[in-house]
Amino acid sequence: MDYRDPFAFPHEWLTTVDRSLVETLRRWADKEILAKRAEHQEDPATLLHPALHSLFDELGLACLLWPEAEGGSGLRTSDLAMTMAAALEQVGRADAGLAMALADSLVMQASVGVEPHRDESRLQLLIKIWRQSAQPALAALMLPALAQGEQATCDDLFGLAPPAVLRSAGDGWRLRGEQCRPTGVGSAAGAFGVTALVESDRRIAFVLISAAAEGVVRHEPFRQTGLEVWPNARVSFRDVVVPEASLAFFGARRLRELLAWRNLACAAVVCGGLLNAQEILQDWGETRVIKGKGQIFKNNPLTASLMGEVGGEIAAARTLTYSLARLVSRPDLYGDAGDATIFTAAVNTARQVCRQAMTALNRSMELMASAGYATEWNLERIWRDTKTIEAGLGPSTAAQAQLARHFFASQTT
Amino acid sequence: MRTIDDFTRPREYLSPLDKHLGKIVRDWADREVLPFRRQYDEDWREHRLIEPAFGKLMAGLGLQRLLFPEEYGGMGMGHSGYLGVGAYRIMEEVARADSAMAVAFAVLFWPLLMICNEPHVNRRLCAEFAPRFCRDDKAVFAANAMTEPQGGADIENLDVLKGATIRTTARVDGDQWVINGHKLWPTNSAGVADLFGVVATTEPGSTDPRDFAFIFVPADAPGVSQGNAYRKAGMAADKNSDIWFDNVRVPLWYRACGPGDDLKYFKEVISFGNMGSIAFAGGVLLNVFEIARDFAARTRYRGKPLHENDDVAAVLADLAAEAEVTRVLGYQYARMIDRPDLYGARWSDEVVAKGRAFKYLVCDRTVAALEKVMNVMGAFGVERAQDIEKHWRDVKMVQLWMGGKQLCQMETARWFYECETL
Repeated sequence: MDYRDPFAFPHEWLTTVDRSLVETLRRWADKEILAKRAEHQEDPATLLHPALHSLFDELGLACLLWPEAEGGSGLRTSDLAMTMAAALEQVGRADAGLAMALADSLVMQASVGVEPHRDESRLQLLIKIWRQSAQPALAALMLPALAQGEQATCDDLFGLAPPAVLRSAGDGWRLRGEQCRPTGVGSAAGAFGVTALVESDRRIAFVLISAAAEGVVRHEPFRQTGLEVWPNARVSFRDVVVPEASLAFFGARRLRELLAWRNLACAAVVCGGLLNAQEILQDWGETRVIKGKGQIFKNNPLTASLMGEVGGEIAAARTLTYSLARLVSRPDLYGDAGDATIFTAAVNTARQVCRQAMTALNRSMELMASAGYATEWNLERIWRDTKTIEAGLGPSTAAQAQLARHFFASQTT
Repeated sequence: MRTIDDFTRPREYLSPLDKHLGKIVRDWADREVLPFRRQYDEDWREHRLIEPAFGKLMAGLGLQRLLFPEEYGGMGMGHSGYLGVGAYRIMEEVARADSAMAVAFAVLFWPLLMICNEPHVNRRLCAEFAPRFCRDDKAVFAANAMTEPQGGADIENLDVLKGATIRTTARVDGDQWVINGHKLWPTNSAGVADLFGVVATTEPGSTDPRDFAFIFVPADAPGVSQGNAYRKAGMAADKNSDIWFDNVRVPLWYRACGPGDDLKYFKEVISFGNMGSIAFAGGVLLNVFEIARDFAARTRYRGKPLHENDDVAAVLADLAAEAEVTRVLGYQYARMIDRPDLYGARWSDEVVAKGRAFKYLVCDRTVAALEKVMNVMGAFGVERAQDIEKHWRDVKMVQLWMGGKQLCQMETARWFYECETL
């Protein structure tokens, strides 16, 4: 890691291959995204849509878990967690929307592609869905959320409501759910990973569904604060036939494992945004003077103190994220990610990292004043994207209750 | 059901027009803005949706006449004794609907304060400019051209720099000013304003208060050019751009108050800017209260309405507490502006510093309160359809403008601690 990286983090856990990937992605981000960002200010999609293809297909990041015979990298162990964190951080530095598109794709694949749960038939199903889709391997996850209206809530889903219901229909399974809100890219995803409650026994299920399946209705895209390059859209599942191979897993433990991976992915993307924010603020701090006295901005005691706070938050966020990647990548040492301890660590880390990131970004914007909110400087975009990622972690109350349940045996009602 | 009118308004301070003004502006907001504001972000460049709403507020309701003396067709609020509290109420109501509209509307009055407000009414300039604004067929805007590329907030850092860093020059040539310079960021630029109040220097590098000049320049004067609107995180209804003044000529009597007094009364403009910013944050808090109240009642968590969860209720309480405190602080500062006999001149260092303190405290806390509410809402919190994320983006910008937080802190520290080197 010999690029100008001022933040110490436990990089000893990265393999040689990981480091090489990081270097490649860093160069790719500099050349393909950051150097061209200004000229695509008006319409970032013209830059990022082709970049997605290059990232997913040419660099092969969407195929890390695919068998080598299918053109993938053949990864199959939880070591993927470290690789994924390092890669998402670099992609997140380039663009959080791009990185979250990759993150949700990898998380969905990891749910059926990482040992001891690796299931070749289900992985093949995903590969087949994506190969039939016009888009690269974009995936949208439907996770538990606050209930709207009289929708039932479930203790195993942290007091939240399942977006869909799965029922046995004699010849197989049917999925029903109206206006399910994906984590992102709902308007473009080729595959959906849907959390559902089994109607008969109230078990939790996670179902892989092709966007092209009969009964899948994609609604109009809606606007949100950030991550808008692939707009989100709600999706309804109207008695969609669910083949056996589409049932990724049953049970709360496996869902916790999936969420732990997603929390890690979110934290890594947020760290990437912070790395770019640090570069933006550094540029600002070195090229501005204050008080008309020729004092370089970064050398004023007050601004230096605030910049110190920003740097400290970034450093801590990054260390936490790589520590979580280590926890998830070594179930032999720490237990699997569905275990309450690791899951809680994941929930906590993602929340902490987002909080630290928002502090760092708010301070950076305050330092840069109007340049902080002008799109030209890109800081506001990172700020909006990060808030959107934080919101996507779910309601804070459910997370806090989970932490209290784990740390203090609280039984919140 | 509790409403935004349940938050305390210091009744002793209110203007006689408070109820009337509050009602007509709230009716306007509910009818002309709230149904359309989700589309405002995409309207940032053209203002096809935003402009008609401004027309109904400013021309239709006649509010663009507020400041001018009655003899010039205005409503005479500049000498009413309740300009502060009256303006606070209006700005709060407009900001409840859209704080960017509140900013653009308020900034119409910013340069006009220099000539319409007692004790420094400039009757000749009032007579000159009133016909532009005292009309009911279209909204007409004004703008303050202050910030420059090289100095950022330096222009507003008057105590320390006294205008020494201003590079926009005003040179006398016969009976005219010749103005040259480049300004950034004025609200109501990019072709919106008809009239600019330009901050310039008659002697570059000078710290003599008499060299600080505030000169009116019609936007259509030869030599004035404007760039395209900047794209920002929010505040679509507030257009900002570069403005260039290239040998622009205006009559000598277009200077607002004269040598020494321009700088003195420009500080009053800062006080009103701080009061407006508090009102904008206050309006945002009130609308977020309404949105959060409704969301928490109709959304369920663990089988119960969201607001019945103690943890959520605590966050909602924090929001209500911020709204309550902001309104009290805002009216208190407006009162200070209205009663110089009790609190000192509006342009005094004390009143300016206290406005800075209130402004940054309120804005910081508003941003934090909104972030907490968004976190409680989970993914719904960042959806445009919930109307909170827009307020969050907008109020962040209120927090950052007028020199940003650090300038507010330094002016506060200077006055309260009598610092010598800041």
